[in-house]
Amino acid sequence: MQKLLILILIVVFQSVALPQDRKINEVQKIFIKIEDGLNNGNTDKFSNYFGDKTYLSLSNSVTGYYSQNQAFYILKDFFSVNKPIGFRINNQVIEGNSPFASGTLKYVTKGNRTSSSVFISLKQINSDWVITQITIN
Amino acid sequence: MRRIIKSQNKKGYFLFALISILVLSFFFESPINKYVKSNWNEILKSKIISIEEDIRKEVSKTESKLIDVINENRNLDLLLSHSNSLISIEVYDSNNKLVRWSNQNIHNDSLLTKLNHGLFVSSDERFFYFSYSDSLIYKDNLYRIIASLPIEKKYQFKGIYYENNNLSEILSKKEGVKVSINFSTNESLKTDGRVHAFIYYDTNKNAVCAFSFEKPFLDIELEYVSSIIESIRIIITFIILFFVFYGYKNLYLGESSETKKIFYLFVILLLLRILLFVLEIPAIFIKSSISDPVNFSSKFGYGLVSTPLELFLTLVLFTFFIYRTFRYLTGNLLATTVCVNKSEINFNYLKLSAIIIGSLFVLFSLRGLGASVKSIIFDSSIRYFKDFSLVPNLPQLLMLINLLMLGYSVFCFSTYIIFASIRYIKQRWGSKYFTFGYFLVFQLIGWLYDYFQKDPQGTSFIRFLFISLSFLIALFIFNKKELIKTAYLYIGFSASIISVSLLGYYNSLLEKESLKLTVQQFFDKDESITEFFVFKTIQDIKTNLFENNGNSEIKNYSPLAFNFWSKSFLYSESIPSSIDFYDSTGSYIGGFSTIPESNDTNSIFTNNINEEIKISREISPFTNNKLISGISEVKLNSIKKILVKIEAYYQLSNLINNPFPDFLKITQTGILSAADSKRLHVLEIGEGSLVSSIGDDIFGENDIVELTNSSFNSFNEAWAELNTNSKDFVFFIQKDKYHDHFIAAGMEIRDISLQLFDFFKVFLVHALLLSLIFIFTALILNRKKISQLFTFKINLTISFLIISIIPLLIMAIYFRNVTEEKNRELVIYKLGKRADQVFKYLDNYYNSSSANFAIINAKAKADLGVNYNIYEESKLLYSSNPNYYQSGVLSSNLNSTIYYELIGNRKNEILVNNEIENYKYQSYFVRYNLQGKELIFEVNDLFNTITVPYSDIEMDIFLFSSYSLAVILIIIISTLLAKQLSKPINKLVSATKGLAAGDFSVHVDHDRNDELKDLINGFNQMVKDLQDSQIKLSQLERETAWKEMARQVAHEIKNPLTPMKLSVQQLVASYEEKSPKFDSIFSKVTSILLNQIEILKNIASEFSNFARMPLYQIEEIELTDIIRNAIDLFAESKLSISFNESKSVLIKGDKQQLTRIFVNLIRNSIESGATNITINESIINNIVEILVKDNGKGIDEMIVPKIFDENFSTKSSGMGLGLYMAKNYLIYLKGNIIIEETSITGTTFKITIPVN
Repeated sequence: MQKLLILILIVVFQSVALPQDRKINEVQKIFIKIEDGLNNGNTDKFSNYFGDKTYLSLSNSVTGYYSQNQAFYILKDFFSVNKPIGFRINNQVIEGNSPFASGTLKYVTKGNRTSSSVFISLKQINSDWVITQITIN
Repeated sequence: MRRIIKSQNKKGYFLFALISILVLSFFFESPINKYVKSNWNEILKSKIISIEEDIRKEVSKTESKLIDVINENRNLDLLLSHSNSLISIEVYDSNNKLVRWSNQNIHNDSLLTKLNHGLFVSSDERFFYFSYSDSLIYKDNLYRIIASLPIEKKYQFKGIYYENNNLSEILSKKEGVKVSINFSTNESLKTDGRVHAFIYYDTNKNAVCAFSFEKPFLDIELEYVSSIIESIRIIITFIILFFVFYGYKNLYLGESSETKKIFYLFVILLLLRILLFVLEIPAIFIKSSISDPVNFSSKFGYGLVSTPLELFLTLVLFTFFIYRTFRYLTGNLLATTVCVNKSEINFNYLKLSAIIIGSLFVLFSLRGLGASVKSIIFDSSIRYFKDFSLVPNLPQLLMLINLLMLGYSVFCFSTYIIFASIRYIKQRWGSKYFTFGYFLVFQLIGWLYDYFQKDPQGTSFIRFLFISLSFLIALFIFNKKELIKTAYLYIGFSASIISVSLLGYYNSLLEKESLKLTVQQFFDKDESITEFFVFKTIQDIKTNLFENNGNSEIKNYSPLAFNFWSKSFLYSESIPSSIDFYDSTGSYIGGFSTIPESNDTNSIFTNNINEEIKISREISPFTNNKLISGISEVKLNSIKKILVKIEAYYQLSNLINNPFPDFLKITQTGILSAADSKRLHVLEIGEGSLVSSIGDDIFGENDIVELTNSSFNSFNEAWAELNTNSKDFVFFIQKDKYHDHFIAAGMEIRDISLQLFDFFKVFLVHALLLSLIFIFTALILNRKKISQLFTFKINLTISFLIISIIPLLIMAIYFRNVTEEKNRELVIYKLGKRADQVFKYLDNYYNSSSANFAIINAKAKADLGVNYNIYEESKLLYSSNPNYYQSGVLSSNLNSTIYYELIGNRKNEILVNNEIENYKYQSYFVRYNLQGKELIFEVNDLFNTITVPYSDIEMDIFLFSSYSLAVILIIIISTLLAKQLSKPINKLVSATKGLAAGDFSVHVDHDRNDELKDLINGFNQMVKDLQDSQIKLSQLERETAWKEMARQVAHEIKNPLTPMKLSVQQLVASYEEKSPKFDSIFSKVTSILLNQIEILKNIASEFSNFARMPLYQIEEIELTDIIRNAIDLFAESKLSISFNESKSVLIKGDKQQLTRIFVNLIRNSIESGATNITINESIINNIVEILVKDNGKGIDEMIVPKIFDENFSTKSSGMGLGLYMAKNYLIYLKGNIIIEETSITGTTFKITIPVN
């Protein structure tokens, strides 16, 4: 009986606590992939998290909502000109409906080393987390 | 490849050399890198020297510019009106008082007293300048001249109007290292292992400023070397592969089977495209808007269409392949022998199934076209209808060409399928009703196809139009029985009509998508993100304020505040916000704000403010929006500290209504840009009533109820159509989870006239492109006889066009200028009225109140809603938007031109075209006397919204679209009129040619009773008279000939008759006398008689030969020319004659005879009801074979064997000699003429002649 009670408690606990934990894990996993992708200038690493419409605001005056296709190539093109040499997430907020993170991207543009602030936000659409915004200021 | 090298020709050696370089490049890369690494110190030193020299040269160039301006204009008036608009000139008298200036006045008196002659750095609130000081004696007075050129802006912001043309930026880009300028030479040079610095001295050896730059990095240098080697490899590889392809060209060109050729072409084009893609050609070399994925990018084809340029390359090759295949397959069907009897074609279920399946494939192709056009709209930031300009920019033009190529390929496919089906149906059943039935069945299949689809591509009308146009072109080709060039033009125009219609359709879908996105933005944004942005901005200020400014004393915090703000997320996310700085006691020391209501620059309480960033939320005292503020202490150094406070509004309407002036706006290029902001309406509805709205139209309570009662889906979203104010709107509505808060975004549905207007804007570009391609192709194909292209009809058409279009253009220019002038007058009127309102308000207030200047002005701004500036002399006294002047984004000094016009020339008002960065605006300046002071008021459209009925761009679009439509109509009408007018002339020309060739049967008909009627009647009468004369002449000639011949015959016959008579008389005498020599006489006489009879026979033969037809003039002739000349005689008839000629066919024959044969055959075809004749000329085994194929009623099988008989004719007026003589003559030439085939659908004659 005691075992059954413990089992029930575990099941109840899992059903209550797991969704939140799962969300944190999923969001963190995406942020890690984005961090890895931005660190190497490899858009492939996180492009499957782009939604139908992703808001991009880049330092080369690209600003707006773009389709999944465009978002991929716009970022790819951006990184082909501005070659990343390092990216690290400094702040991240996972609570709320729109988890977001920010960091500093260091890159080389035509021989010049420079850095920009990066802001990324996510949103859950039909149980999947998608990137809604990437801003490189 | 081996073959090419073995051939030992130049190409082979060249190829071998290229391969060698390619191979060697792999061996050399590593040694080059090693060399760079091991000699890096020396390379670095030389690079540093080179960069320093470049920087010195650049500054020296600027110094020279300033010196030149002063030295070339040693006259004050000339100097002040010099041509370089960037250089400001200031003139000071001997007391260091500024007396005159051009552009801006930058310096103050105290600064000048310290100045020596030469170059120095100066600054105002906006720029750092290189200034050059010199003295000038003018009219016996000594003046100090300062010429200044801005080199570095103190402000910067992200946006389309900002251009970073700072000297440090230009040098950084040029040198590939980060270059900085330190304008203070008092500080010690910062140099370390990473940075090199030096001081720049002017020509007088005075220190001007210090430059520092990051030393080049080894890894970047190595990467640069590798990239150059890689680029060289790519080019070499491409050239090698091109040569390899070229070497095997005969594999394609030499192939006799067209099917194999098509297959080889497919393989070659596919390989070429893959090769270009793998080698990244030309993307690696072209980095411009046409290779920018913002303009278009799709993942389709693994990157083969990732940019407008890549899509263009892919489509060029694809369209060429489709065109070539279409030409082959359709041509093949046209060339296939038509069965004589339709009963020979069996009803075939397989073929019927193929027709139905073919129809489905045509519909699939339309679906494919729809999907492609959807991608062109949805995966692109180009707004084909909204951002239309008179001359499309390069990516827009390229994408329009891509669109046309897509449509062209699909139309080639659909036309072929329908053509093949019609051909089978026509052959099997013949009647046109069956073809019409097929058309109806096809349309029905199309309707069913879309009906059962979840998401059909395009509209029913577009599908109907697509099928109909494909049918029309297929029928056109079928009736013409050949692929004439006009068919390709029709395909092009049809492709344009359908693709542009689809473009319009998907654009309307994107507009709806942008409505949805507009609404979703409200629900996506989270105020915690705004909080984060405030936190992050303070954090950045704390990190960078000291780092950027070092120990130097910060004199003005406002420009700093603007620069921090413009780099922050608060700006990029369009959040109304402010950054304010306070000293340690809490007194305001500078800042920047974009919060319209905020004028609060009072001091703050410093209690509890420390290095921790404190964030708080409160409801705005001005609106119901949330105000998020953050505050923290910033340590500048160990002693000095200041406070920074940031405020930001979490305000929903700002997501649509950009809260900043236009020049600061960040232009969105994505999906959201699809909706025209002028047509956009956003409604915020709370508890059943309208809370706030954006847009020009007003929506009443009933409209709100209608919107909130829409049928919402499970995501609380709904689409609704609303009719209000006599306009139709479409709205997307979303409600929050509590169901009491709605956001609706909508726009007016474009009516049919606007849709047509949009259609024509893009269609015209296609029409122009197609016309150019058609004219260019016509010129290339007829390059040897271009002059012949300009026929009477063409000349008439061109004349009509010139006469009609020139007045149109003049009218368009006139309307444009009138609108421009009216707009200018309206702007002056509206701005002037506002300035007048402000003046009257201030004047009244001063007379009735004791409030101070600042308070009265603040009240005037609030009450009148007008933004304005007031200047005293040339200095700004008051501004409704002080932030932009204090931060140095806008100048607070009056431009010299305005000052001189208003104060010097005593003008009352002036309208000036101004510029902030690349953003243009208009400023109205007016001189008023306020309370005894002469002040200059400025009201501009930078901070005030001035609307004009038609902007210049709108006017251009209107004029271009409407006038282009008129031009199209003019072209169509001119062509028809020219055709109509030139018709009788062309008939006359054709008849004259026929007459010249000996055809006296020509007759020209003309129904109208005009001057031409007399001319044509005259011509017909002349032909008749000529014919009569010819007959009479022939009769006369014949009579004369007969008489002469009779005389000759008599004469010739007489000669032998005399000896014959004498001999016979001698024989009779010897017989009667019973002469013993009778036997010998008999023998002699018979011998004489026989001889004379032989002579008579010879004479008869001679005369017989003389009476024969004239002898042939056999010579070497070009057969192709003969056929072409014969065809030319029928050029103006309704008959369509196509001639597939061989290059050169030389035969021996008589020109006249051969021309007669071809004229005869063509005339026979016309008389048998043919409308189309195809003549094919080919050489097979030294025999030229000419097939003359018509679509007449054919020859009855019963008379086919007699057709070449003498005197046989089916015509009542015929002599039955034409074909008989043709056969005889051709046999004489060792050739022949036969009937190749004949049926009810036409006859083919085959002529063979040996080639010389």
